[in-house]
Amino acid sequence: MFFPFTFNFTIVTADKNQRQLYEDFEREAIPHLDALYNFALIMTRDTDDADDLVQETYLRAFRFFDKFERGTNCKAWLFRIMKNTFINKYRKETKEPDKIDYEEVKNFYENEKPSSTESAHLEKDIYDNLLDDELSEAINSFPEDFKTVVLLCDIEGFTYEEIADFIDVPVGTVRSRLYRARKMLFTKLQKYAAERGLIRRDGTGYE
Amino acid sequence: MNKELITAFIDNEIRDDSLKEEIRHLIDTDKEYWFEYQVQLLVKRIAKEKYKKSSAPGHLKIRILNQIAPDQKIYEPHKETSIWAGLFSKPAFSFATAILIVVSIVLILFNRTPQQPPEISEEQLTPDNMFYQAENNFKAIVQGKLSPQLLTGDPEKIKSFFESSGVKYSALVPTFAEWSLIGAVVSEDKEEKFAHHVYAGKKGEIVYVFQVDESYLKSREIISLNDNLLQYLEQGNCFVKTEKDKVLLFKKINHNICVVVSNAPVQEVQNNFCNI
Repeated sequence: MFFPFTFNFTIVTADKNQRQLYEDFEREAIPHLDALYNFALIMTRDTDDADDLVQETYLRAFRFFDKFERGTNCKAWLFRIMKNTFINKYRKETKEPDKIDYEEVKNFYENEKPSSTESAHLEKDIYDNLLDDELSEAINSFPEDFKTVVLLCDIEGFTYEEIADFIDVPVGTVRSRLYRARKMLFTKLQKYAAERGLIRRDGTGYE
Repeated sequence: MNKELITAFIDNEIRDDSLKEEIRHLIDTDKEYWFEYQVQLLVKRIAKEKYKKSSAPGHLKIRILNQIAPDQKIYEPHKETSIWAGLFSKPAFSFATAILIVVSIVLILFNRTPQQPPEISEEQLTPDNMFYQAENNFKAIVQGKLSPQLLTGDPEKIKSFFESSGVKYSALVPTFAEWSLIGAVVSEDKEEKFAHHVYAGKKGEIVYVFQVDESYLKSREIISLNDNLLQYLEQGNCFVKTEKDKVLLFKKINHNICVVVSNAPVQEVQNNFCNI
């Protein structure tokens, strides 16, 4: 030791409650970081903006974490905060989503009737051979309203009520959009499967 | 019946048991409903299994944790000060003692021949070299490729993690006012485990610490370090190398050789680690 004497220091920890809050937050909220980031990327369409949006969401969430009701869905709570943050700060600056003609979508996909589809099309094995990229690309190419419900329900596992709360529509609208979105996705998957020779282009399956 | 109810049925969103039963019956008996059910079910499963989610970059987690971490590291003098510090509280001794100590320090400084830090050449940086490994690990952390296996700000939890993960030496995990402890990683090489931990600064700077017991470096079986550098550290010196975007610091602490790689200001890294 260079000096002939040393100062003794002691570490004073922060307020115990604050520390506990931090640990609870780390345990409950941080595991949802990837889910939030993935969705932020879809909302902002830019990696830097997604970074900022998620960071701001977590900072806000931490500020109000003492008000978060333990035992309720933390992921849904974080998504709600992210939506509000997005609306307040980012929405004005980003491009408005494309307007969708729901009737047009409905008419197109209503044509997908059982009579035009062989039962072989419904075997999961066929679609298991598709690439993850193809599936992701198909979902990402959807109009925003449809993409959102598929992601929140099928990928993130939210209930209709949580989704309805997130996108500010009635529960019935969530159900309706999901119904159509899945049919759209089915049509896209069939197209990819046909391109890869997994089913025939005329819509019939291979033996 | 509205076919959209099949979607709700699949998603377990129908609360009414009789309606559930009705839908189930329709699926079993009506070809159109059966088809709708199969399509919806298939698509839901495929989407869940195959959708590729984007992962948050590693730096984002660190940045968030760092910003919300409570300020637990406020340094204040210990109540039981050392006998030397006590001398200053006695008026009769305070001035004379202070003069004596200052003179002693000056004498020591003048009589001390500073040892030149060793040169590290690129050829010496083989993959088993600690210097080389530390630089690469730091790069991986900054790029988000290497994330902590344990995420905690508690040094005791990190020490326990090292111990339970099979690290055979006692690792030092100090805390600092400027940086928050983020987490730790245990690496494995030839069945031996090594301790790594990470701090983050308030502006998102990363401070990565890799420490090994000096016996590993002396035996050179798994990991090595340049002889002259090891000798330099054995003599109690702190080795600091600054590069364009980072600083590397080596210091022997107790029986461990520690390497610190950071993009925090060099003075900050030096002040914190060279004085341990």
